[in-house]
Amino acid sequence: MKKKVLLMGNLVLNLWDCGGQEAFMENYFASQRDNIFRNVEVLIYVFDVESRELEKDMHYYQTCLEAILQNSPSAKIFCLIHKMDLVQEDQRDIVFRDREDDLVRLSKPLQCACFKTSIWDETLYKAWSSIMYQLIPNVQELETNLARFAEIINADEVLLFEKATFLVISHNERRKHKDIHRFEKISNIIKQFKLSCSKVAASFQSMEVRNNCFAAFIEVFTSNTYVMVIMSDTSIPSELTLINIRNARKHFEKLEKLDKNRLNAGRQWRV
Amino acid sequence: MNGFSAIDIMLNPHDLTEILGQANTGGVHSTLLVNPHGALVAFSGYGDNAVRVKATISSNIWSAYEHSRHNAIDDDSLHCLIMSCQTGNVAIHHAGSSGLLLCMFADKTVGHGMLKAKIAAMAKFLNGPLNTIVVS
Repeated sequence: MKKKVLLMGNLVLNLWDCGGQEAFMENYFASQRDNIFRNVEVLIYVFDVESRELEKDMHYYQTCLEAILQNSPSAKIFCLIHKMDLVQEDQRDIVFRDREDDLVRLSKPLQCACFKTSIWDETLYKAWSSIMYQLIPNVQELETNLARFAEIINADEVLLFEKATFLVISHNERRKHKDIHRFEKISNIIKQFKLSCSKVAASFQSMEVRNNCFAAFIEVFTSNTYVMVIMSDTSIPSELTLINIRNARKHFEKLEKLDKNRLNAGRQWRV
Repeated sequence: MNGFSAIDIMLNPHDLTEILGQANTGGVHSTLLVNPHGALVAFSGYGDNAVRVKATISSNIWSAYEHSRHNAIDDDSLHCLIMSCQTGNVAIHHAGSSGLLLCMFADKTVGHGMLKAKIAAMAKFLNGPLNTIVVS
């Protein structure tokens, strides 16, 4: 089963779900090999931590790596050790380190980055965010500019979300926040809201949440991003923050366009 | 590419409030910046908590006079509005070229001339930064 997702306006994410069925895997490696593994920038391989057939899993993984080495040797490789919630909490780190060591060793000469993930906590979201982060060519420049922006407007925190997936692709924290799960929570809240907007044929554009402790603004930013600005100084009128966001938009849109020009024309990011 | 020249065209809340506050002497008790729709953008003042209402009303009054000037023979744009009210005097002035308004509220003790001089000076000073930003 195959699915396509468009990220950041020009990155194509191809998802191949083999569903653990051998027939699919054999087919992919035999007849579709070049088609799948050529022009690949990123490979994300998901392992089921509960799998009883570790040998077979590793065999398929290595076959993928061979195809990568032949067709796209400079691809970035990420391994997700998934369903970690099924492992006892005190065992999780040990199990993960174990798998990670194996994978790093087996992947040589290619390098892989491993994440332990589960749909029941924020680890999956964080893993995808980290991967997204590495796909953006000028992410350092984006971060520097975001920091400057946050400083000028006196924000506590500024987040940049990818428009389609609402993954956090960049953020600047000027004031520490103790909830490390906030990114996924916010992402889920906005996605739900977007969904209910679409049910009445309206498109989500912006949101302002305000109480006596803070004011949060979520606005469409560039053609591929949303921005979220958190202000704890509630005496600052909303309109001032909105004016600042409007004025920053052009600048960040320019950054994004520059980034696009750096990518080769017609290059497809296969994941 | 110099990534910072464009991004500096924004308004720092703290600095803006401080600048507006410089007018609040000798009887002037609050100075506001309002957008064309009547929303408060910045303010500095004391002894007052109806700031947002004042902002909207000021903006409305300005718009009303702006509209009626189209019927006037003199084609000069509205420059400054000075109002004498029961408990104080108010001045409204253009700030920048994007429609922002500067408002000053003062006691009855502040003469119209002084009020006009203060608001004109402040508006002139703010023209620099306010002319470069997009308001809506």
